[in-house]
Amino acid sequence: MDIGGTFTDLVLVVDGRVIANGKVLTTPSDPSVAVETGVTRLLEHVRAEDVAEVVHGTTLVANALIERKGAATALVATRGFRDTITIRRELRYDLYDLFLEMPEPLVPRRLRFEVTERVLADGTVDVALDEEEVRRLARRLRREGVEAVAVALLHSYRAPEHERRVGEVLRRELPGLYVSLSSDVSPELGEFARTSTVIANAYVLPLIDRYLEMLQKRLTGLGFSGALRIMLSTGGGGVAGVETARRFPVRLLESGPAAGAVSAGFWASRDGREDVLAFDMGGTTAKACLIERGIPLVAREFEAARVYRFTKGSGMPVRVPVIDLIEIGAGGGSIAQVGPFGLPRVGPESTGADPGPACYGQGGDLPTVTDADLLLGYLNPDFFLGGDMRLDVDAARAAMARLGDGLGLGLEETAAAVHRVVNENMASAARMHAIERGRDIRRCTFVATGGAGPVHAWGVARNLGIRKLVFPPSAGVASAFGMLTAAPGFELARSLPSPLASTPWREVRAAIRELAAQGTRQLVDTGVPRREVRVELAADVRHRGQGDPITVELGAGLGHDPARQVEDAFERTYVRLYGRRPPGVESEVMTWRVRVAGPLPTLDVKLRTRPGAQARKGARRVWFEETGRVQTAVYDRYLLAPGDTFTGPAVVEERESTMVIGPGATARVDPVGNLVVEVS
Amino acid sequence: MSATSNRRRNASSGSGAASSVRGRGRRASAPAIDPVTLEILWSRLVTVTNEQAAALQRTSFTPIVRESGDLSAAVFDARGRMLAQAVTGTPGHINSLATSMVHFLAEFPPESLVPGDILITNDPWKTSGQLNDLSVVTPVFRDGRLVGFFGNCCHAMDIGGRGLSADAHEVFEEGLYIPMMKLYEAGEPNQDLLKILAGNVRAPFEVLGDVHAQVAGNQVGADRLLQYLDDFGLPDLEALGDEICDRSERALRDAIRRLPDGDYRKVIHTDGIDEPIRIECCVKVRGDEILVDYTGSSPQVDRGMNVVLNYTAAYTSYALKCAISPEVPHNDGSFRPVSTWAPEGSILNPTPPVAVAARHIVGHFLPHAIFGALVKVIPERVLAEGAGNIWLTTVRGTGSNRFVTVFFAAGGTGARPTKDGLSTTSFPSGIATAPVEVIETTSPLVVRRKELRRDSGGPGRFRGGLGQAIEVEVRTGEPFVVSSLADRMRFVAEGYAGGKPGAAGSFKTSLGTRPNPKLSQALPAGTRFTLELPGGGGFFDPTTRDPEAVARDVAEGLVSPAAALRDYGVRVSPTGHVLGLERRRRRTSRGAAGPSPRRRT
Repeated sequence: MDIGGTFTDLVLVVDGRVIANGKVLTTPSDPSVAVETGVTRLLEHVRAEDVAEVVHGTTLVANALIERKGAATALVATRGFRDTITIRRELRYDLYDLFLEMPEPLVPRRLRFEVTERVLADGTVDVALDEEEVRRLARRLRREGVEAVAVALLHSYRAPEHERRVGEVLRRELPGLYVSLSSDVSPELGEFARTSTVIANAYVLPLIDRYLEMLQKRLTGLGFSGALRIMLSTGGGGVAGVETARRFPVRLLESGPAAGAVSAGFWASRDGREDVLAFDMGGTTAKACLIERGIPLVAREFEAARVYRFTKGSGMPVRVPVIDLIEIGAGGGSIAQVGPFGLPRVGPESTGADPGPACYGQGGDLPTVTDADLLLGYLNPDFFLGGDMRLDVDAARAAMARLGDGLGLGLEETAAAVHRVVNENMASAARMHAIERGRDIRRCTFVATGGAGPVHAWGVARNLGIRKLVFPPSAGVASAFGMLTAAPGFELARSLPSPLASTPWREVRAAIRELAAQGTRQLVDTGVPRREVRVELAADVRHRGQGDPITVELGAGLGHDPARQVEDAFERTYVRLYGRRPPGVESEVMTWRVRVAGPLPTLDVKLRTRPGAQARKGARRVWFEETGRVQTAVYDRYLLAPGDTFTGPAVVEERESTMVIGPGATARVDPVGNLVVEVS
Repeated sequence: MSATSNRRRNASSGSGAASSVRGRGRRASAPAIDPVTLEILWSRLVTVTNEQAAALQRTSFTPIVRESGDLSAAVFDARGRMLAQAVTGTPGHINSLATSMVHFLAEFPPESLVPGDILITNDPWKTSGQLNDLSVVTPVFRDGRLVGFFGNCCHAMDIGGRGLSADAHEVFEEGLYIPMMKLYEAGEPNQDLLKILAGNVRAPFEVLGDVHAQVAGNQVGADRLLQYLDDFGLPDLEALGDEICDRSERALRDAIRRLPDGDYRKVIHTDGIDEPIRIECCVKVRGDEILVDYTGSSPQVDRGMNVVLNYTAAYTSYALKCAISPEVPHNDGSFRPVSTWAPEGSILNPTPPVAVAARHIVGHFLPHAIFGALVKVIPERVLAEGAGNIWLTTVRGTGSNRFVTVFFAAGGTGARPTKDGLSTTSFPSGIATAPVEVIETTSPLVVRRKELRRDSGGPGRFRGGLGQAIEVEVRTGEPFVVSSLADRMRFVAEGYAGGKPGAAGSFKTSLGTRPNPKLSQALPAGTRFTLELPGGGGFFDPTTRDPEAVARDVAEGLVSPAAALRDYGVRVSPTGHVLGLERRRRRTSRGAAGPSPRRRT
């Protein structure tokens, strides 16, 4: 189940087959209420005690950070360093905006405290911790009414003892206080990102802890006795036990999008043989994510609660492994207007759900992408949301005509302009996303989901030079479904910066062993058999003294010549990304990463067919960039059967969306119900 | 960098800039492109330059290029008009690329170029003002016909000489000079040049690697451009170039026309090394054109702080764009209505062979001078003076441990007419600073504190950003040498419209001395030094600041109760409760919210 901002989605799988799904309104004050409602409905199909596991994802963490609804939180820092989260990297994220703002820290300065202690870069203690001071601090925290405390001391990734001691003293003095240590949450070099991460974690800790406790109670009350697993922000090896989630809630930050991407990867390439671009376009934004070998690319850092949603650098860094996706200000509600040079501009401003596009007839009169899609013939005014909502063509026309006046264009040209421009915006962003990661986007299979994704897939893929598109079935609950396709797993990291030539391998091996044991224990606790736990090692490596490291894969662990092994892997990865590498430059490892994962769930998702049904339900005139307006066949998605093929131009309608297939393309339905489109 | 080349530069980008650039303006009667196609062509062309820049940035070996985007990349048409520039990290490169193309074409006319040629130079006067910036230009041919150029300029990790300091007296001391020449000739690399380059820099592999990355970046751009022309069935970039330049020019002229005509003047000073440096600027608005005239500024100096005219023009153009037309992109058209003039031999238009390496410590003040001039006409669109240049501090071990390490730090920015300034944030440069843990991992430095300086933000209805104090110890147990390209130790950041100045910067040692950090200081083993970075100026009279905002600043420890009373006329308890208002506030004190801030979604 996936708890979104508006809806809570549920999917029930029995013996590897999807038996039922459901959608209920989210109950923000206590989201476990909606879960109980939804689950109770699914219990018509299965007995609670027969359910082996419940997998769960949520936007609660992201929302708490954006809406600043977390706990009253304090920070404990090394003396002289309480301003780390205000000082940041001293960089403006937009060169030209004189009026930009930095995100307000989650902990006000008056609740940022310093303790006397100092550890040096090599882990040695320079100034011992003053424990009496910590006890005095505990009394102060009580007076301030603080509910959670983040502890972030310098170089604690290397020597966590002071942080642990601070944690022990505070817990003893203030039972019931939530304490989060940076050396637990994100033991990585770089005090700004690490402090920001542990603060975010502490800030949401009480909220998530209480919620998960309540959820467990409700599920137990309904008769569940299976494992409760929580979807993490990564996707690949990305489901963890509830205890882990209760300690590291910040790892749940992007669980919804991660599950969506895993789902896209599942449908497009279950065997992971093809690289995938997952493209999800909704009402206000589009998201794109690259998937390789069945696993979404993972970034080391994420930005939460950006001041400007689409501007890199305007948020709080959270350094945990997280799905690497780009969010673009382009959705069905994106507003079209005349830009500063007399040219059409679309987004990132959006009408949102209320009043929505002009054609929603809810009082909106601004022309939007959805209005253009309607006027171009992509959307059926009588079959929007399966006919639950009638679209007002006249209102769309009036809004679009006003824009056309400003641009000096006719109605159809204007609608086409909006469609083309928003497609170009999305294609450009996706192209840059791939280039910055050294990937060739043209080789990818394009998987379109979301309400507007399938409508725009054809145009965006065409701009990107992509030749194969996949429209998976039941896109409406893709995230909830994705959670069931993800393997249980967890990633742990620890920074031990050292030149490769003089790395203390004994210390490194011990650290890796400890991380692997810790991760394995977490998986075993959630019911994964120990022998099925896979361990993978990776390291962040860079040229000595130079810039950001890159993550290189090292297989199952360190061999007998670890320096050579890391060097070779670094060489391979570096050359793949950058073409060549300098000779004679020393390499250094910054951070070691251990991933533990259980087996992939097996799912049987064969499409049930209804023989004899006529899928083609009519025809209408639809606009295409290639041909202008042409007579186009319309199909009912639910009546298409595996093996059906047809050629574009075509439009395929389903409840949640509409698939647009351009002239000359061939479409076929594969055995699991994907609509696969290939450009000849 | 002969006197001749300097004269030529003046002819094309100095006083004659406005007229000579207009002289290369549009040809009549290009076939019109419909607005939708134009929007798509234009935005795709910008993406092509972003791809070019990303390819270069990703493969560079130089951290400041990779992480802070200290580079520029652009596409030009066959006539050398710049049509689009990638969005990258620092303003210093803004129109210097466009101007350098004029020089490249003067040296190598289009008819002299063949496929496979690639051009290079680091002439500070013809490009972006220091030898470390290497410019590489690649002509693009289609069916044997020249259709355009890709150019980029990238900060090299090293170029020999004294490194990035103000120490030199002549440019010859600052490193290797590469005159405008061919890096590749018909596909063959110029091995002699590469050998000379490798033999004159401290990190030959990285520097050559970056040059190759520059070549590769342009190649990515060229490949994409040819594909682009095919995709859209365009014969060349001419018609598109006309549209892009004309529309940009028109938009900028419209923006300028909204300013009242007049001469808007401002004089500011920076500390300099031996003598203060005067920057005098007059922004002359005439109809739909602007001339920024720096007559009256200090003469050129005997240290590496001279700012070549290209760099002067870059920061001038940057400041005007921020204040007048943030939405108009940089291209040949948007340069036409603006010209920059500084007298030859002045610090803002020096003559060779003066030293120029640390030109940013003067150049970064230019936007403050321009905003100071414009605050009289558009107070709602500028920010008050800030800390100025980012401080670059170099520490060198002089005992048996011969290390060298460099780190950056920023003070506060000026307040805005609708909001407080930003604390510890660089303006105008766009360089990220390193975390303390990284500094300590890669050097023997230990940072004892790095914290905001209370009361350093200039008082105002909107307060200036705070500076910071950084206390550093060197753990070698040996003597060391430290220098810092610091400023605003004498001349503080002024407030605007009644706002008060920010705190001055300082450099102190644990010996109790306050030496001039711009010159290298030898310090004995065990000495600690403290950098105190300046705060930004305030905006509007501080007695009109919302008393609750003053109280919040006190509660947060950003303003002391004493300063709250002295500067703002508000009595505040140490815990941040308003206890009373001074009589002088009664007239002015209201809810002090200005117009609502500009916001993007």
